[in-house]
Amino acid sequence: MAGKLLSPTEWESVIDDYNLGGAANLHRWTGGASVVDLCISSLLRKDFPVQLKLNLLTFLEHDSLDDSPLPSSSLSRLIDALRSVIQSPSDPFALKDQFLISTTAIFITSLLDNDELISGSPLRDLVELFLTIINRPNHGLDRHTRGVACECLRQLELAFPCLLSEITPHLWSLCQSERTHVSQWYVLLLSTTILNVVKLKPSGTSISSMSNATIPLIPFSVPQFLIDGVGSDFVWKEKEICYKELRRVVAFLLECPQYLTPFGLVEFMVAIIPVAEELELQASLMRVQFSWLLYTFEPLLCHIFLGIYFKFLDSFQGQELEVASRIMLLSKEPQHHLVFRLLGLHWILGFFALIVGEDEAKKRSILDMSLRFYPTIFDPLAIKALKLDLLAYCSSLICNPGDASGLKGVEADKGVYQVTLFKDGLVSVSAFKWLPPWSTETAVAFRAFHKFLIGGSPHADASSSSVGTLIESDIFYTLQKMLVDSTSESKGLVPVIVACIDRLLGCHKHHWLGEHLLVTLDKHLLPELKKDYSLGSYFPIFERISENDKVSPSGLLELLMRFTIFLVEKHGPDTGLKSWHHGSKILGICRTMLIHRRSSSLFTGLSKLLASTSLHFPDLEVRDNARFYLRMLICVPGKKLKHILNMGGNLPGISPSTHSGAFFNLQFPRALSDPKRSGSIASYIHIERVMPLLVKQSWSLSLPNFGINPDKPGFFEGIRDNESPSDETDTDITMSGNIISESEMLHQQKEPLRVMDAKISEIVSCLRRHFSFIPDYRHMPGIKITISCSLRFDSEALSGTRETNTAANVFDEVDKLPAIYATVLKFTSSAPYGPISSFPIPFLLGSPPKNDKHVTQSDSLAIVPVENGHAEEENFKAPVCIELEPREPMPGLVDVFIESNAENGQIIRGQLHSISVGIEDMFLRAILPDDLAEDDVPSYYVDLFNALWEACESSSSTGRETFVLKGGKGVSAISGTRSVKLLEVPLTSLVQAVERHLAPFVVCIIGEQLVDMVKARGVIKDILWKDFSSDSSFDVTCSPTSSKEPLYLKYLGDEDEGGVQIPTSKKNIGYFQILIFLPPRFHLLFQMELCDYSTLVRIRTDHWPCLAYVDDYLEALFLD
Amino acid sequence: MQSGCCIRGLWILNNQDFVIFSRKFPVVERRWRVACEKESDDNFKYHLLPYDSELASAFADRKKREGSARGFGIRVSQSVKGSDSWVDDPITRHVISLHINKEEKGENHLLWPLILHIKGPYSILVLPLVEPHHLKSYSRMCNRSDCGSAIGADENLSSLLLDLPSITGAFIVAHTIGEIILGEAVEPEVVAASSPSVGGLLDSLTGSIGISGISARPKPVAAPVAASTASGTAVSGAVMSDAPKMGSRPLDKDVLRSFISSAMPFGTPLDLSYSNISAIKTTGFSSADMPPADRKQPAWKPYLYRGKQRILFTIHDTVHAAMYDRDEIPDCITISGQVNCRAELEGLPDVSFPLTGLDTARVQSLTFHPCAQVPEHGGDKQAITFSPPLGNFVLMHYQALCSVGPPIKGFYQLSMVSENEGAFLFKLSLMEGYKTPITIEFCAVTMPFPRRRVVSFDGTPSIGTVSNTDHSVEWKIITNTRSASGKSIEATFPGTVRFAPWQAQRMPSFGSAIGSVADEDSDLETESSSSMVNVEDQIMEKMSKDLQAVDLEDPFCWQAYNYAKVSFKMIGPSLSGMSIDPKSVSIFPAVKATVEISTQVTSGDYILWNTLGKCPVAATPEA
Repeated sequence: MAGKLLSPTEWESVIDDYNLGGAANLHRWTGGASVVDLCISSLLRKDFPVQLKLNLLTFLEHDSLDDSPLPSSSLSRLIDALRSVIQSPSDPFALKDQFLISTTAIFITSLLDNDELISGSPLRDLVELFLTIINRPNHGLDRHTRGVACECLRQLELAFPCLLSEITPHLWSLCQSERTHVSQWYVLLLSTTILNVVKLKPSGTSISSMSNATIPLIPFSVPQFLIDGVGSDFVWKEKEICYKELRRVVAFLLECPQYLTPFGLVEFMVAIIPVAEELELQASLMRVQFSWLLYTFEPLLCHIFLGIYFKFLDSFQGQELEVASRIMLLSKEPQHHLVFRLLGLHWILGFFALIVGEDEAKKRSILDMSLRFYPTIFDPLAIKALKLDLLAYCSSLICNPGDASGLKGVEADKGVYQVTLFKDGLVSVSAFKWLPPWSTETAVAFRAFHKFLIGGSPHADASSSSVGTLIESDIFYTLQKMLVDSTSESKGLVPVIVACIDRLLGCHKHHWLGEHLLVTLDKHLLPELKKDYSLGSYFPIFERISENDKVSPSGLLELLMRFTIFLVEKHGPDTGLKSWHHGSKILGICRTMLIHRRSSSLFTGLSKLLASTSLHFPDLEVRDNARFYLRMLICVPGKKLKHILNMGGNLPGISPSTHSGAFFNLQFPRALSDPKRSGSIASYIHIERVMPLLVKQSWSLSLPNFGINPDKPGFFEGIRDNESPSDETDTDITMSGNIISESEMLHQQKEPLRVMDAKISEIVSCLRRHFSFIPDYRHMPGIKITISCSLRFDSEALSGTRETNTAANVFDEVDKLPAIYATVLKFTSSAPYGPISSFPIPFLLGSPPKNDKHVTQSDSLAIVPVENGHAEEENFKAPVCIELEPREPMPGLVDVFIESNAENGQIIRGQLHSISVGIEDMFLRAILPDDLAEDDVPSYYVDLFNALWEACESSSSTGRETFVLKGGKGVSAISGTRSVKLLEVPLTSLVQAVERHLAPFVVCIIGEQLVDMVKARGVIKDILWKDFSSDSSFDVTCSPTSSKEPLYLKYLGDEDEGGVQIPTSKKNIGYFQILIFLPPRFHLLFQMELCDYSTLVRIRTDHWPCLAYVDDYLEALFLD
Repeated sequence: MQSGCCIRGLWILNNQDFVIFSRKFPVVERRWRVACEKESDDNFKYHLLPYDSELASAFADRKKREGSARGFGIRVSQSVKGSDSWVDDPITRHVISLHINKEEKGENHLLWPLILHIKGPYSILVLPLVEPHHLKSYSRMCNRSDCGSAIGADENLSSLLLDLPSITGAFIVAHTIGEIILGEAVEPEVVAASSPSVGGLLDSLTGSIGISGISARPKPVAAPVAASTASGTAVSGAVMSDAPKMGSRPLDKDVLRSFISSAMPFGTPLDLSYSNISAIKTTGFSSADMPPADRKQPAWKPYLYRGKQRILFTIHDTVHAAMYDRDEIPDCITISGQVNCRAELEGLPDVSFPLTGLDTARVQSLTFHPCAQVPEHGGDKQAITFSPPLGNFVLMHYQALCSVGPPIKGFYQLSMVSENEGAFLFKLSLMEGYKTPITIEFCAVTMPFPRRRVVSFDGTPSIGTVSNTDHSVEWKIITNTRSASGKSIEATFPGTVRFAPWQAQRMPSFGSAIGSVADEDSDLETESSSSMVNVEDQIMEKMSKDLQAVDLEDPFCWQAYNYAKVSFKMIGPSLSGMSIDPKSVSIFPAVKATVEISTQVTSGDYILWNTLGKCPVAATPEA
């Protein structure tokens, strides 16, 4: 004993520490010494109080649980200590008893973990000690200790089965002679021993007889078979005499129960029932012996009886009702503690489940009992709940297919009977209709609802055949009606009913029930509701309806529409907050619908609701959000929309007022951090022209622009006429050039009038008229040209960024594609195109991956091939319009910058490939005066053409004339230039090209042959058709050109390859007159002289720099 | 019935969730361990019993999760999967599970079934031994993902409970321990003619043996009969039954320890009779205690009586009534009763008497003490034979219909004339149709207003006196037996009662079993929708808004109704018809012993519902 002895107070602390946290806490007290040894020495001290010793013994017991098994030596020391205490006359019985008990417990736990010890001496010594104690039947003073010793032996026998089998005859004789109250302990010991003998059938002749003890009680030795292991044949059965003896013992034991305590009886029954079975005792005997148990008011005894009942079911045949009604009493007697009443009801339920099977008669007898299951008024709610369970059980018995006819009260209709059960049962908690929704009555009532609902289709039942019959059943109809009625009467029930529906919806088996309830509510509840502020309480139900695909949204949408109208009408100074509140709730529902349903099913109703909300709703925020939703509904396709709306807003019970926050509460947007990716956005997001340019390369501007700061205007100088420097900066009003500021204009107007002939004045007035409609971009929006482009992106590039989403959502094929949202394209250009407004694209789906077609754009200036654009499905392209307001008609590049959101909230930002703008993009028809009649348009254009043609003659007399632009502040002059171009193309292809590209600009066609030809083709319409003779002026105007014909021929002949064409080419077939307006205020005129194989184009313009591009353009147009 | 009833451990926690007493039974625990090891698999293996600290924190966790120590009981919206209320059965308020977190091992395992018995400030937890498959089954039940079991079809608690007598036994253990730690272990009351009530076992023992020290023990105060029907009277008390009710005396651990070591030395209870055990502990046995020569002495009767022989019976009727005074709802009157007995007889005699007094048509149930032998099928000539234990005991319980009309008839009307003033009218007739031997000892009517403070009342009754407390008005109709012997009495009491202004009570954090649905709309709406018919409905509406949920142990929300509770005591023949003829009581072997029989009739829940208000009802089957 290394450790010091602990004092009583120290022991108290040790025990407290141990109880609180286990053996780990002990070390500091014991210092490593054995706890058992420390305890034993303390136990033997005379000066320690008895209570402490008792504590120590319990502590030792507890400690044996999680400590390693004690060594044999400790056990021996323990027995020695036990002996000395038992033999001491001064120690009180309480200590002796506890010492016996604790030692036994420690032995059992230690020995079971260490098989070798069983045969050892400590166990033998212990048993011997006990046997000595019990071997004094009817002895007075220590009778209780004898009882305790019996129990110790019994526990040893239970732990080491058949330990005592060889001394059973002694135990029996002791049992017979004991007459004090401890006889119960002898009886139990004997019955347990017999049980083990019968159960395990140890071999060996030593226990061949019960009456003749062949082995002395003491000294005790552990049976050999226990050491060797048990289990062989039961030898007694062969010997009839011994078997009879055993029967006698059992008969003796069966007389005992009256003397036992209820708990003693439990132990007794545990032992005796298997023995009775083994001995094939008549079950009726058991019934007679034990049926009194059912008539006692001890719950435990009733329970024991049920145990016997199920063991000997056959012999109790026909008594089911009797038994059931006795058990039912347990629940009805108010003197019992509630728990036992509840247990009684549970036993009934378990009892029914065990006996009923498929037996119709039993079902019927249970139904006969159903009236007794009605809750009574003073039953606690827990009892009411379980009694309602019983009624639900009866109801399910009825609804199961089977014949319930002939049953008392069921004759009429079993459906009606079922409904009666339900309604009558529910009366006891009917207060749920007006009590607050959190009341316990409500909980019980809805629990009963649920039980009755699912009674007909339990989870264990795999078949779904009962679904149809259940829906049509009376009970289901009644339940629904009750729900609808009580919900419409009391809005307080809304959260409860929602919880009830949620519960069903969450169940794999009864999902359909929940949906069905929602349909019912939609059909019957919604029309019932008053359209006033009280409707606000029903929103949780609306929420569920709107979520569920099985319920048509039209009813709800209509209701919401009417509610919105109500809110709008009621709106006043006092109801501002309410309007906002309800409006937000309505939008919440809309949002839920958008998330959970197909847009197509909602589109009409929802867009109507949202539109009217956004127009009329008094609250600004609601209006805004409605507009927001409406826009999303229209722009973003279904599943993507769901995805967006779900983000950050998927929490259950989200308050309606914060719903709009879902858009803004995205995760912190992070720019794409991958430098590789961000650097090459252009490689997977493509913007391209819808109509490719005819001139593929814009030589004049592209090269210097590439890769250089586009803001630097320096390179323009070289190719510009200083006479017409278009302003690079809009705000700067330049005095030079053709635009003249106001003051100068005034000054010019003071110039003396010049003499003009009638023709010139006619031209001038025509031009004045024309120019007066040309907007002065410095003071008003200029003339815009539109370049149609399309945007698309490759889905592979983005799919990596949204893996988390694909894992979570099951999208179909298309919806696996990534999307970008809220894309904004911004444009800048170094060319003088004025301010270019950015272009928003709300939603764009990635184009599905292509296997071989990969657009490589090594050359940044390459134009996307035509066929590529057309091959794409339009779904994956967003149309983009770039609106330019050119200050000067010239080709150029527009740089495109994108800013967009990926689905995971990442921001995509970067530059795309630039868009080339060609000269043909600048081609517009001349502006028509407002007051011009439609019929006069062709002649107006011809007149304008002629006037401009004249004015652009370098020697024109209009050269010094100025023309006031629209708005009257700016004036413009015409300074014309002329040029020619010979096109060696056959007539038909030229006509075709004109028709394809220049048709809108043709103002006049001259020459019968050409007119006939073009008219027949039908492409060019609404122009002036002339023949050569009809217009005398033609010759005059054309003569200068025709006079150049020899020159042209000569020129043509210079490089023509064959003379065959010369004669034919001479034949002038006709003229196209083409008038093109170049914004902001310039013109380009073509007069094409068509011959069979060549065409001479005379070009006049008031903006000479454009000639450079025109040349290329015409070549591309006709020669390619 | 494989294992009988064994206890693995028990714990007693105080209201600070601190374990103040624990006991584990290593022998039973060994058995559990062996069973677990046999059936262990990946999801299931043996775990050591929790230490006190672990258990306490698990208990506190459950309390937090389940709203209260008992829990929700039925599945509500706050219920989480894996918790008891997920199982959706009221008994999970009594048979609970705990999730034990072993911190150092990082494991979390289920401890079930723990019997929870709350007594005074203590929570008693008893863990009976079950088989591993029971635990697995329960674990499946509280983790099921569907909407809850269908009755009788799916895996359910009922079949488990039926299969487990150890749970039933553990409840009895828990209740016994509860009585011991509160010092409430009392024997039933037996009234003798000579003295109002006689003592219990110890008195008879000490009387015969003459140890004066023990006889100084205080007499039991509360009769168990009154305690069992106290639910109605506790209306104005704390709503949460979990809350500590009294400042308690310190727990006497030594008493408990010694009781446990005698009653269930190895965790297997064998005898839970506290009076017997404490008698054995304190007095022991002397050489004078000779065993009977011819018969075995029952285990429940360790001592034999010696002295003057007599046998006493007390028949005790308790009348429960719900009086509606409405055409569409029938009144409902039931009597539950018991026959208490005290047999001061030497030796081990059998006592028998015929149960002739009971009209079988009116008796709904009869249950007996285990010492009684009854014929298997009751006929007209039912006789009861019993071998009486020592001391006072309940011989039988019965339930019956009333043989005569209700002792107190009439109506109670209360009408709120304004928000804070109510006019009421009682019109009662007492003992109508009752004949002379029955006299009424006292009769009082109480109007409880648990949620309103009574400021004053006005009105004079035709008979008796009236007084009021803060939350009730009490009308004592009869205080003196002589004033009302053997004749029927008409009593009326019109008056008004004034209350302090109504103050909406703010809901405590607990209180909603279904879900705290503080509907912000509702306040706004009542004003706008002034379609209320009268002021009364409006007040009702207002008051019912913040009614708290009652426990499942209550029959309904008492506070939601206006009612008057009648309490009375009558002397004379029982209303149930239960009677014992002293001459017919026979004792075998025959001895000369006096037989005394007394009868009393008291009121249980005797409620007059406000005829003008709402009232709880239950459907009564026609059969």
